[in-house]
Amino acid sequence: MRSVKWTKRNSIYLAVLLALAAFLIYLPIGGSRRNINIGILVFIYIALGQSWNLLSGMSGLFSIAHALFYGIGAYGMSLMLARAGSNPLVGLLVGIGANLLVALIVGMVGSKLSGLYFTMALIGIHSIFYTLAGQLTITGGWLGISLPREWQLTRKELYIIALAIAVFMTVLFQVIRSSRIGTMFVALKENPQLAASLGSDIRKWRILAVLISATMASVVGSFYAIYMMAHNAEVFNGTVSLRIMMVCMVGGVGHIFGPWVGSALIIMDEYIRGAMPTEFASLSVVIYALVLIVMALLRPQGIMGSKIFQPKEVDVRAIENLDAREKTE
Amino acid sequence: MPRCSSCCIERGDVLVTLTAIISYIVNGILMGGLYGLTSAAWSFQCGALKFANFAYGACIMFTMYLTYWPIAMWGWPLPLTIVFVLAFNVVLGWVMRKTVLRPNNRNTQILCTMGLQLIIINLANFFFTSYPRDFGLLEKRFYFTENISIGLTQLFCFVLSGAILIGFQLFLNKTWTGRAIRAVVQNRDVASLMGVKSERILDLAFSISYIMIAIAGIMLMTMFTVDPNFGTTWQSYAFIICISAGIGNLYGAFLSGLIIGVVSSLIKGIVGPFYHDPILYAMFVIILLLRPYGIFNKAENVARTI
Amino acid sequence: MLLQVEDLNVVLGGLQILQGVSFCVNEGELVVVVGSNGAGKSTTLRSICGMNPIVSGSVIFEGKDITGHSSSECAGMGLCMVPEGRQLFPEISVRENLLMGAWHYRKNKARVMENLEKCYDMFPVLKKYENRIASTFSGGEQQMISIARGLMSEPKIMMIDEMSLGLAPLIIEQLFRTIKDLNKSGMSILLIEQNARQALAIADRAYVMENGTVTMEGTGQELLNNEQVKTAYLGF
Repeated sequence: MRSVKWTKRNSIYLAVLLALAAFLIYLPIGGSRRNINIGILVFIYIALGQSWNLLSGMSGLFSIAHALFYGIGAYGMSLMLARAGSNPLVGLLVGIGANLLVALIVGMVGSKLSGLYFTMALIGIHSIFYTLAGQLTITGGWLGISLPREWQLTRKELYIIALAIAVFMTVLFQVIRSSRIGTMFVALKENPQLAASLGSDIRKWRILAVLISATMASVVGSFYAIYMMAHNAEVFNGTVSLRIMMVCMVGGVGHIFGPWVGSALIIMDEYIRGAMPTEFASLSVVIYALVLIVMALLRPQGIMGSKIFQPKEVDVRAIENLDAREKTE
Repeated sequence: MPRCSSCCIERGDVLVTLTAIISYIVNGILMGGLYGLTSAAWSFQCGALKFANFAYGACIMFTMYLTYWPIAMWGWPLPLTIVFVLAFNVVLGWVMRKTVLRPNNRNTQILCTMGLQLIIINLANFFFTSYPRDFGLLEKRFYFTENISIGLTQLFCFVLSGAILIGFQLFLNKTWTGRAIRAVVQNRDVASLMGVKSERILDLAFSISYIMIAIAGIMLMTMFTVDPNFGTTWQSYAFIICISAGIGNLYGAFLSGLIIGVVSSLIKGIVGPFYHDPILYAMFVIILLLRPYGIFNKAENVARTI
Repeated sequence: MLLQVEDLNVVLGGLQILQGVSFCVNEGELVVVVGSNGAGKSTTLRSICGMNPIVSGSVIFEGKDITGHSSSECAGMGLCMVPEGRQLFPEISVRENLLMGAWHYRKNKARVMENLEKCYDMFPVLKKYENRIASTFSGGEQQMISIARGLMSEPKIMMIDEMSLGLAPLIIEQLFRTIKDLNKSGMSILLIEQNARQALAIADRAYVMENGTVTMEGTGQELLNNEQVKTAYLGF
């Protein structure tokens, strides 16, 4: 790790971090129920943010429907617990398993084609799950699933688990970033042609990125199911995906503490929504989306990010054709 | 899911016989005209103008509301409403081009337009409420046989859609301005050297595509019930149609629209509306896996422009 | 003087690409600018046409200061640039490519058709394949289309950027002959070339550019016989 210079900027960061840490420790002890809930929500989005960061920030595969993986994780857990009478560990694994399968399909499309097609494939698969989840009887259709009482945890336990997940995902992100895998991901984003010409198999790495990211989101989703003890198809809702993107893009794309900073938005949103009368609930989303647009236009790399987020639009097939042609000439 | 107020096929006692299938196909073709028009406009924006516009469905939905509200709530005459809707869309297109579609990075565009989509949907929710609206027009139907009929409104919309599309393609091919649009799309800098004001031409092209959206929205309002989520499904259909045809291929988009219209109609009639969407999306993903550059495009012609 | 460039300074991406570039083209002249890769020749042309921002210096055309105008005003003024790498409109036909050259006077149909016929007379092969898509032609033919397209805009001066890049020697000879013929019929030409020998052979006057500035100037013959030029660019 590079040595950290003791500049004024870093001192501010450190102060903020310490204050944040103090606040986080205080919450489960002395905070109100509502604040603890907000805290848990924040951790969920931080963890999801790291998952998105890995796929879109590090690897450059812009994921516009990340709630897909999240929702599958949630349903994996809830279906196993409620319908199959199993335990949370199985639920977790089933969620991850289903996600790996979906991620494989998504990855196969994304590995071959450029960003726009990947986005559309993601939206297509996401729509399938969203509509099915809302209509099948096994998932409880519109009303959703509720989990058996025996698995309910106390609020404090949930808080600690959520915090642990958020920290774990952050550490995982850093570990991957510093490893060879992470370097490959970034190389693929920054200069795919160069990476390909050096002999890397772009497809393989892209699929791997989706797999890892989906697994991370799956874990968070499964936690969400246990946390809420009941949920419906709205776990797949576009607002979830949008929030994840907002957290990362405002906080800093590809930066390890980006989601932590961006989660301030979640806090802001919850308080605003709590303060506004219900008729104006739609307007709060409008404000939310406006902030996103303004941030995206003015500072696409987010508060903490340093490089402009511009993954190269690459057509893997075109590159492969180029290689093939060069080999025959 | 869009609910069609004037062309619902009664499943009641009708057996799935040959006449029913023909009926589905015919209705599907007519419906496909509108699918084709809206998809072609989106395809043009995406393929030719290189704008990934994900607020598309929301714009259509809003256009429909703008058609409905003045006529039903304020008693405006039809011509005035049409002018209003067209003008609004041109302005909307211009604003979008100056703000949300300004960055050249496609991903930022996708993100911004999705944000815009959320804004439009929630504004509609706020101002118009989520209560579904429709004109409740009684459809005049023309009966070939006892079970096979077509609605006259549908037929009119189909013909109009086709005419607009052909007219647009002719405009692009035969007029100087159309030629300039095609030139700017292929090589902006060199077009400038020839004296073409590239930015203005792109503004014009974008506004034209938004006029097409406006007309499509007006037509849709005569046939469908609108609620704030109408646009999202329609947009997904547009994606499927455009990808199947190959982005940028206008005639192909129209043809693909017809095909999807028929397929959709058949699925709804035979399997029922319950699984309609998942099946359609599944087909979409399969197409993406097997022939992502479009069924009508050869693999080498990646995203040909017009 | 038809075109005069004085003390041009251009900065791109934080780097100073051009430093105090000055040269001129008189009416009816064929002026050549030679130099190796990265000397700033193309940047100069692009700056004249308003495609790069100019930090300081001036471009004077027909006595008027045109520094800093936009690229879409070029055609109307009579400045024509034939860009590096052909840069045709790849998906449309030859005929439509040529017609685009006539954009700035498109309202006058008769004039457009007249000029089109003149182009076809000069390059008969274009007439033969006028409806073929531009990207299907060979490099040499594409260069011809590009030059013809430039002619369609009724220019007062043609500025041609690296037309011999990537082309076979026979084609290059043909092109140089065509350029010389064009010049003989009265067209003022500014030719940017890496292929120094052939370019200098047909030039009235020439300049040498190195590292973003003009280092030598003289007639075509003078520079062909110049010792420095010989070692650096003519391979002796």
